[in-house]
Amino acid sequence: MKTFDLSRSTGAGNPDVAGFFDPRTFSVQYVVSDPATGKCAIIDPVHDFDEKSGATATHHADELLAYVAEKGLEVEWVLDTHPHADHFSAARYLKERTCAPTAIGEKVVEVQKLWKKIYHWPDFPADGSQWDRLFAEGDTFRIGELEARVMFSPGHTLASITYVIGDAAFVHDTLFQPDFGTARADFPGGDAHQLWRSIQSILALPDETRLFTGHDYMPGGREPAWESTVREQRETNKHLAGSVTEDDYAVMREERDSELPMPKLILHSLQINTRGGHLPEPEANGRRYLKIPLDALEGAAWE
Amino acid sequence: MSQTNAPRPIVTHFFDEPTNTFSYVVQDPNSKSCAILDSVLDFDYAAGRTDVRSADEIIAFVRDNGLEVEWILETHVHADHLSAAPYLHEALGGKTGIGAKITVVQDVFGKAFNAGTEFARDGSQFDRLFEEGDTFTIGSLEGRVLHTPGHTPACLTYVIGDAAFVGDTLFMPDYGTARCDFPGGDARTLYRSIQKVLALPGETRIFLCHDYKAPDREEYQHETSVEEQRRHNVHVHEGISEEEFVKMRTERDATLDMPKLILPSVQVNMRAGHMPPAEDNGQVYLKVPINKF
Repeated sequence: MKTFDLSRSTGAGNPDVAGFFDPRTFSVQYVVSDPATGKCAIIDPVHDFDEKSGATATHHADELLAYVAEKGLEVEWVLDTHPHADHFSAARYLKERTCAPTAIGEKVVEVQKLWKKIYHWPDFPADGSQWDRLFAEGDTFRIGELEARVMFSPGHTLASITYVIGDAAFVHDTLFQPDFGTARADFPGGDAHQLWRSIQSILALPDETRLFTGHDYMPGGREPAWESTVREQRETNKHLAGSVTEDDYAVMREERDSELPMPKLILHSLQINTRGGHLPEPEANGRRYLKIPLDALEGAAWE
Repeated sequence: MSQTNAPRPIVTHFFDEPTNTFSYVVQDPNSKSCAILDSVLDFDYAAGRTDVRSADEIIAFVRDNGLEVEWILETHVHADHLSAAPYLHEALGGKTGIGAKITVVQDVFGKAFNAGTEFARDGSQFDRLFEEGDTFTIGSLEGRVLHTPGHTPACLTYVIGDAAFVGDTLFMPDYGTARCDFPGGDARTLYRSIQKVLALPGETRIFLCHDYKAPDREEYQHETSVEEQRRHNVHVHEGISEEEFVKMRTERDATLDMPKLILPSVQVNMRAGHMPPAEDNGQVYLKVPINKF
């Protein structure tokens, strides 16, 4: 199975994009680097977790660090596109290892408030202070000499953002590969109409923009893939191609979502990812515990 | 025990495919008395949701047949499904029972989950704690308890008339035996427990707690006999020594993943199927210890 691919820079101002696939969670992690300066950002790193035993590991994050070291890169940012519901973010771990600042979209605060209630964390500061920077719509930053820009793309979660870095856009859970379609919009704070509009903004980027998705589920047993272009998505995405309207899309999305079970790690993941990748504080016995609220999520299909 | 005189209970099985678990209603042919063994509370781990569909099937069966539940029994603290014993008890009455060594399991997992002092480690959540050789009645039937540890320290086999409910010791002959790598499990102990079961009369009906099908078998099966197990069990048929078994079992266990529901199951089942106390917002939470197992 292909778990690594390097999409080379298409010219000055455009990044090299190394994609790392995690088959356990079907997630794609990226190292986005400036060929001119060797500066890079890590996007959506995975902290390994085995929900059966409760064991954590850093195999994938260490693989990213090994790549960074091998290529002589310097990590300037550790970025998340949103608080993920299917894997733990390794942002905290990578910050400790690289000293690079962490960042996410500023609406993460709303997600924190939502889950603070579900997890019953009366003392939890739902203020985004767990990250070094919270991005607003239109914010810009640099990775070496690369220009990076933030687009809000809510719908899958209300905090989702797209990073546009040179000619590459990291769209995470909005568009998947054209043969799989689009992300679900039924988690707490999700909205199919918003997702449609976010996708339209992404499709308004230049046709040849390289799009890098956050997951691939290998439809039909094909090899993992994670790169497409705006043109390809517009012409062939199975949820969008043809004369699909916002209302058509929302109806399709909601019907489909009503048949999907919850992701198996949603209750585990959100309590790490709303904390910027920190594990919960230990109890008096020194051990850390995740909490699984019973009968708190309504409406999803039975697993 | 004279096999010819052994009464023959009416045994009805209920299969929960998501967890591959068999629950049983064991009925006295001469009265309306019955026992329920190893019930299942449906659990969707992803969404953290419970449901009582499986338990309701048992309740409907008991009511449709006008049965009286005398016992709600567990063969052990299961690691792959949540027990519906409290829900069944509320609906149908009956006394709950499990092996006396539950206290060992409660001690180990009470610590692992950092349960509060409200969680008694003395088995008092159950109405009866059974020891090796204990007997009980279901109407005119006599039940007898064999302590059959190995999979867990608290595992029991209930011998009721000509039927033995072996929990997680033996599986179907083509599938073998239960794993022994959970806290307190031991392959050598399991071998010896299985020998006790295989010393029952050859015609004894054996009812399993689980079936996973075997390669080349399409149907789930829940019943076999002592004689079939002696002859054909792929892990412990006659002629396989304790040493051979321990080696096989240990090597095989090293390759197995933890069961998907071990963490939710154990913390509920150690409480006789009761949920942990709610937090002060009224919400119940299960706990997942990080990097403990």
